[in-house]
Amino acid sequence: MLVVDPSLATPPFEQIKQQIVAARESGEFPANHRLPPVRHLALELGIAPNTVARAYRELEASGVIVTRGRAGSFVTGTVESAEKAGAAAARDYVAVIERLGLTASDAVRLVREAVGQA
Amino acid sequence: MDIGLFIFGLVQAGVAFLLANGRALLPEETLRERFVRNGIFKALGTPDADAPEGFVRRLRDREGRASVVSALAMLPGLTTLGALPNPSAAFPILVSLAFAGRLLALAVLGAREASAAADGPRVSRGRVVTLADHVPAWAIGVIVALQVAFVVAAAWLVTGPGWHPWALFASLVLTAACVAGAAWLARQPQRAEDATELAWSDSVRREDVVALLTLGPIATMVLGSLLLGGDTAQAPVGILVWANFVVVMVAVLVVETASRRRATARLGAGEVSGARR
Repeated sequence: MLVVDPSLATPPFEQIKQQIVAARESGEFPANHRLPPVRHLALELGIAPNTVARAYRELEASGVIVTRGRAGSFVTGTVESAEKAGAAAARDYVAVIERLGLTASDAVRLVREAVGQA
Repeated sequence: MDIGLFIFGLVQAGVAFLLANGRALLPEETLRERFVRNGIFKALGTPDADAPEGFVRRLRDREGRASVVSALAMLPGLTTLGALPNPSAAFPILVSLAFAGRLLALAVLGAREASAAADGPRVSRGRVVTLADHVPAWAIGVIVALQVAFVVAAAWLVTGPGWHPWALFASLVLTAACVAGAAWLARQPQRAEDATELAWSDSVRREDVVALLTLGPIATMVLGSLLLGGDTAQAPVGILVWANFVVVMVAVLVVETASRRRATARLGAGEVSGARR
């Protein structure tokens, strides 16, 4: 959840930036989380659209979010979130290997071969 | 139109207005019971906390303005009184128009709630809420199927297959418009100053979205009334009048129950403990 308090000394665009960065690191906004359009967020937070646009611009410059044209702005993944997603994929892979009746060494060999081909 | 028919029409319109807007006419003390944690009129799925004062004031203002629109929406219905073979057949039309006027006004005013300037802190969920966050797709499918089946049955049984294509088409257009309206409303920005207010805003938005979705069955009720023409002496008509009522009630219950579960799962509606205060 994003909160903007105009009575604080921190400017609203900085408050938005800090909270999106924090939400990304905590996993509240996972990789590919779609942020609201500038005008939508500005209306909800009761601030000018330019303020939100500035926060998005600076977040994009620092690689926290990425804008994909008309599709909108998306949160990029952190190293931790990539590792979590990778671990989940590995667990799914191990489950398939067990279902097929293959051994752990087969699984590792197949991963090595796949990495070698990539 | 003679004076007797005019007075009868006004009485019907008055009852229809009360049915649609009873909530807006509640006294202040009774209204409070809808928005306090242990209130006796608190609806299911609403947050487990008292609603902020400003939120209740804005909602009351919105409902007051919607009741004016509701009264105006009944005016075209009153003009049909003289044209109907049985003047009491105008009642479902008036009730439907009163509900439709109120719901549309609530939706438009609710969608614009966030545009007011902020003088204090404001919160956002950080994502756009969609119709799928409020109502599962299968529930929408159920109400669409119910009302289309009803209109087709009414058209076949009462007026013959000749009515079938346009009645079905009109029902589908109305349904599509209602679903599109609900999807539009669900995406509109919300106004909240803290997590508690956001949770209350979610539950009111869910109510409005569900009301818009059930506008389809209500509109079908009007269409059904026009098809049946008020001739209740005909054998299948009596059954269809009851079937009409059942269709509307089932549609409302299905969407209401499904949306309460969905909103709790997706938005945490009714829960404020996990959010930042």
